[in-house]
Amino acid sequence: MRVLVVEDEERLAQNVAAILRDNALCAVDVAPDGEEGLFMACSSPYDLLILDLMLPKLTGLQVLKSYRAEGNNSPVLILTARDEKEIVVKLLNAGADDYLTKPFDLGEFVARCKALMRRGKGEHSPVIQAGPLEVDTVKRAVQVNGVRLSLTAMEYRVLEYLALRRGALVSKMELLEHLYDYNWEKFGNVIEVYISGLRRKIEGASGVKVIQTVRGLGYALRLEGEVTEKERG
Amino acid sequence: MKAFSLNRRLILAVVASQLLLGAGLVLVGTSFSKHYLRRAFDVFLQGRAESMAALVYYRDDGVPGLLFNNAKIPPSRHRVHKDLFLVQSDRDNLLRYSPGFDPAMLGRIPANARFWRFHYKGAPYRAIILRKVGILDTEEGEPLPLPTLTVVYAAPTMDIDQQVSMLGVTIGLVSLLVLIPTLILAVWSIRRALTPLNDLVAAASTVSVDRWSFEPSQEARSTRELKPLIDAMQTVLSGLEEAFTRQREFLGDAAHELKTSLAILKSTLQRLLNKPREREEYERGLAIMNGDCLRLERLLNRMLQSARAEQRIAKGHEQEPEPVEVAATCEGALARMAQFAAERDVRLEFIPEGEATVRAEAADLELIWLNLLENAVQYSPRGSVVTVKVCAETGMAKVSVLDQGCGIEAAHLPHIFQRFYRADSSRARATGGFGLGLAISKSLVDFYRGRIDIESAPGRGTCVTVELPAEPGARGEGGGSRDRAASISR
Repeated sequence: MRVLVVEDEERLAQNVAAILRDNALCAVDVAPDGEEGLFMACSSPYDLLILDLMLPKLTGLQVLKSYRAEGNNSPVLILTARDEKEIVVKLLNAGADDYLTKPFDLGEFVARCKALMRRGKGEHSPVIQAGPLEVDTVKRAVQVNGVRLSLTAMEYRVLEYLALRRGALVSKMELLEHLYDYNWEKFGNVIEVYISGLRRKIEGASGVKVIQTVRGLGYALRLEGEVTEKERG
Repeated sequence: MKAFSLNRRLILAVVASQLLLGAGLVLVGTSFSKHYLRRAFDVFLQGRAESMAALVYYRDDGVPGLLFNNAKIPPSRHRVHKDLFLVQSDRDNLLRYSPGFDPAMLGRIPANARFWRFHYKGAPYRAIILRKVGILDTEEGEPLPLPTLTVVYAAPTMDIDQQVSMLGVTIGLVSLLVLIPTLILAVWSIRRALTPLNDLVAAASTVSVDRWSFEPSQEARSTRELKPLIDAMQTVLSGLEEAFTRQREFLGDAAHELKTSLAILKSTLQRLLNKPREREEYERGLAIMNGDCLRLERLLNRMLQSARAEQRIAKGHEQEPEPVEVAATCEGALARMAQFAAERDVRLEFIPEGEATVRAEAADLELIWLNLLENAVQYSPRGSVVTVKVCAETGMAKVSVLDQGCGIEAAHLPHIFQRFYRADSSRARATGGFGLGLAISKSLVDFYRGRIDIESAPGRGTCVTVELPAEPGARGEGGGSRDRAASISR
């Protein structure tokens, strides 16, 4: 999962980014003002946008409106020091998905971010199942037939993304874009390493193949026999 | 106090005046008509009495004497209550009277009175008494002198009373009848006349804390009596709105500032607690949060200063402060600023070009200079100079604070004295400003009836000039104090 934080208070931005990296295992980019925030939001695929309301250059509301006007539908969480009803209504009507008033609790913040990212992928339950595999996105725990698997942080992130897009075909590029932040050099074979590691661990524990490789297209988390729309077409 | 209706009062006043007018008309009408009818009646009585006298004639056909022509007695006007008369000669040789009016009555006639009122058979009568009336119908050669006559003629006066009361009743009824259309007209015109007032009330009742616009109808505005009220209300409301908006903005900005500072502190703390860390990490985090707390404390102090300055403007001067030497307060501020400037490697320079005294609290002046100096030092690059100049101009003490900093873009200048306004918020936070210093300075300068101006251009530095009304007679003589010029720096 990859998150963009648009916040002009550098300290707050850093704290928010750190907690998202630590507690939600997200790749986080930070933009210090509205203009740069909008540019970054429109140029990379983010799974969640965290937007401060009072920003230099472009206000949060302007960024939000332009972002939605561009046809982006990733969830947006607004951070604001003002909680007057009119402002909240205006924000939600402009396409925001949720808001938090400063000063907020980081625990609540992370929970809301996770819920928004989940729902952004069309998943409502925090626990995703695929045959014998169970991915708990809150505890960040993976179980196969009730037995807990020990995964590395990157392996978990790859699996979580595939699980949230359960059944769908996910390209290597998509995985790279959604798992690494702006400053990362993107090498496709890194993904192959994680996938093979995941396969070894999951199949070793259950004997069932849940991560399918579609040659030339990418990967999909599904049981054998299920077919994606894209392949059919 | 009991509420009363203007509408009802006006209508009552119209009704009362109408009734009074009616009563007056009845009174005046009846008394005038009574008077004239009486006069006419008296004339009638006199005529009748004289004609009765004219009926007496002297005849000498053997037995000379006075005769009375019975056949020509004029008929009574009233059918039931007949007129009464009595004709008597002074020599008692003639006496004629109507039935029921015997000579005994003569005794009851008041002596010398011309008119006499009495009751006869239950009816009021008025009588005229003519004395010493000569006999008109005479012939030649009659023996002179002839006797004179006393004639009494009485007629019932019920008719007069009846007519008078009829007239009174008629006038009264007519006035009552007129009252109905008058009342309708009054109600309509009062309603009509009060429309602007009602409009005004309606317009005033829509004013609230959320909706300040007060727009009475054109009719109300063009009513001469209401115009001063409307003008006064509009002045008060616009003043209130401005004060309210300013207060609300200040509150909103203050809340934003506090919440943001608190959000930074809280998130730092929670991030630190999020997972077990090394001792050094905790120590570093705590030191950072200590700095945050100090910053919050400074913010609160600044907000209190600002609130106090505003409050003082609202209250006005309680008592005239003592005269203070401007240069001394500048030196005080420069001394307090020295360490902060040294930390940033900024040199402070003081050029007192003239001496001036103003009536102000020394602490207030020092606070103004401190705020200006703090801004100047904050936005100055390392190794640059901040200059404070004091001079005296016609009746004004002038203090300028110049820096060689980054300057302010023209677009920001009109807002620069607003509370919490910062030309570049991210930069300002990094340098530790709150956007309150200039606002506090302006409040204080306003309080002392001075003026504050800012000149700046990007890359060319900033110059803030404060002018305060100087105490007359205490002006220095220019260059005399130049030897005091000192460069306070480290």
